[in-house]
Amino acid sequence: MLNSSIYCPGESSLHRANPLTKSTGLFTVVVTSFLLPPPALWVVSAIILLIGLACGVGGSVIWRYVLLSLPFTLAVFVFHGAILPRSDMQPVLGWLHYSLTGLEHASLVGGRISLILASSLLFVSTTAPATLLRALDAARWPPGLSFLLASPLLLLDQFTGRARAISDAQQTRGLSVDGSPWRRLQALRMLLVPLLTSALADAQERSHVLTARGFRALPYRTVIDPPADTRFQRFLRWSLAVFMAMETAFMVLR
Amino acid sequence: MSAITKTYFDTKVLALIAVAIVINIVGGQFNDLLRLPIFLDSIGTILVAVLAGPIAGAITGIFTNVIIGLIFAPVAAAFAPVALVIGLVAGLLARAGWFRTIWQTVISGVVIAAALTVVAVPIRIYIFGGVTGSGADFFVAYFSSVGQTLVSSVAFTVFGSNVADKVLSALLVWGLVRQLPERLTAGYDYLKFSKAAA
Amino acid sequence: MIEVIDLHVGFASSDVLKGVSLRVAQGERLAILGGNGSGKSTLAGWLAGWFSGGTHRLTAGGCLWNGKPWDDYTLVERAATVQLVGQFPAQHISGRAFTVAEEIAFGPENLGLPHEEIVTRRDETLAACHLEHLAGRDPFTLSGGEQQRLVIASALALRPKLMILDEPFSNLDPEARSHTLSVLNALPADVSVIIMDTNPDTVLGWANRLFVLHEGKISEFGNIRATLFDPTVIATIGLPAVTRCFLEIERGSGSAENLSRDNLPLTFVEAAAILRRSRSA
Repeated sequence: MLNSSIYCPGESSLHRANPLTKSTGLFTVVVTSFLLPPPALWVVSAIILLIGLACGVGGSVIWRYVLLSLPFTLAVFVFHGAILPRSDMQPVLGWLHYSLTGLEHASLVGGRISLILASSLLFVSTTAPATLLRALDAARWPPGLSFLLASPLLLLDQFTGRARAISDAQQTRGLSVDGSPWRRLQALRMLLVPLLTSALADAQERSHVLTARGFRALPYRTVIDPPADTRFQRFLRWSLAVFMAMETAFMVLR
Repeated sequence: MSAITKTYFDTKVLALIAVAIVINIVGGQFNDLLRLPIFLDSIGTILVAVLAGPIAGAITGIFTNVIIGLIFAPVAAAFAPVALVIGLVAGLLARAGWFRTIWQTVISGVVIAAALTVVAVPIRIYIFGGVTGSGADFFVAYFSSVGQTLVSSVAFTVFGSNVADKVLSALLVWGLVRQLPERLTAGYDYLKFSKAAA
Repeated sequence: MIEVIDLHVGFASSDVLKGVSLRVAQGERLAILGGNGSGKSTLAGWLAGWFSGGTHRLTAGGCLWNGKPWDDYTLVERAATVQLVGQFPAQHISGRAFTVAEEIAFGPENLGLPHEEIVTRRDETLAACHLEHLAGRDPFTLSGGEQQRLVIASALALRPKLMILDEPFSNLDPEARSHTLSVLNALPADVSVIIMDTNPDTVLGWANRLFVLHEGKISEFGNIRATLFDPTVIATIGLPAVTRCFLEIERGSGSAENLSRDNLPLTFVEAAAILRRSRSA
């Protein structure tokens, strides 16, 4: 299971870059992936994985990349290459057929997902969530936005533990998790209702605490250690934004 | 109240959305235990939609997928529009009073599943080529090989795998909000639309 | 300072507070004792201005800070004036900070204070609440007592003029309890502090004034001793543990001193003094 956070601490220049620059870069790659031909998509994916290696996060990025993209890539090649009926289906052996246009399409779709996946993994593995949020606050995005990204990340472990405690407690009291689907549905209710009720109590109390600590009392907040930013990075972000706008215009007008 | 800023969302709703996102992510954990053929990944979204309306529901959906993308599987972020539609449609149905009785809620679940199919199909086909790399691909493959078009194969699969989940999730939320004490629901504006007429 | 005038508050069906009046001056240390369901948390919330938004129904009376209701102050002004520390510390952690240091800075950052000011406040409160060694930890991984001190620190970093603590000792082990008490003892003298609690033991020797909240009504009987030895209070709250223990011993032995409600010991220090005197006599 992929049940641990993807972020790997490090000191590479990618780790130190401003999260806003990195996310602009990520968006640029995603937009560009809709313009590149299949071979380029696979080549750029490989380059991104190599950058990951150079930044010291290669192991984790490549492992997750393989785990997440392999089933999809196989499925897309088999489905488009051999199953979905197309006009250029050629027999290979017995009932097995293949389609060249289907394989080309699979390579395009698979390559695009591969590139988006590789670059997203590179972004999240080199960006600590806390740094990303400080960058958003420092850029004066609404405080509510960074709260919605931070709070679930912080509460996740607590609620996972709570869910486990509820299921242990209910099973000790004789709740059966086996039996007919109807009984298991009843069990689901017995598990979910306490979890949801406690979540609502938390939300109610926390909203008071947040307001009392001045959360959203002003439209912006001071950030005491904002992530480093440079004139070059600001220039880069603007250039990438213009580039993305041009790409989008090209795709629409094409 | 003389607050300096006028914000669209009350902080109360914001705190609710945050825990609802966690419920969406943790909900699947119970599913591992009970082995039911459903996802349980939008109970929090539907709960927010019923308590605080379509916009709050939509935001819960989007952020759930963005956060799953940030920590587990980046691909989930591509389906954020689907999660958005679940919250939006559930909120609109709640506003229209379709979470009042058990049968209305069942129908609401079916409508949510239908609405999400409309958004999920183009994403699945255009970005993912109609497959996901999961077990559901066998259904898509089966429907296409018996002569369905790609669009209808994917649509059948998406709707079929979601309808039971959305109906059950809607029913769970319906059952929950009926029994919540006043202390926990005070201040959520939308709940009045789902109260059964006495 | 804060003034509560004939406060009646309730949910739709019944009133929780039935005419509470109270006046707290600057720097006072106040304890309000009451059993479960006596309305302590509701009163705490109203004192802090938490419930003015409509969660609870106000039937009569109100709560004034320097002559004006909380609704007349901005959220920034309120945050810098009053802070409430609740009974369950985990619910009072903002859920926005990844470390203890960030959690403490959260409030001052929200108020848009200058950079240096926030850093100073953060470091001072870290030290005042004995949290320096935990500065880099995830708030949700702390123990209950540590979370309690963190919530107090986060409140203090806003430099409030009134601090309200709702049963701050109830979920703590003895060691964490004494840690919290030492933090409370070191609070700035010009800050008014109100503690809500179910039993008198932890607040005796700390509070200047003692109130009892019972079935939604508040009473003060002159001084602390008069309050504690009032028969109705003994019936609902009980005597302090030290006093109870002392009376138990006295019954058996008979003492050199004539003990009455004016000199019965309330705290360990007082009990020790009496014992020492009776031994030397």
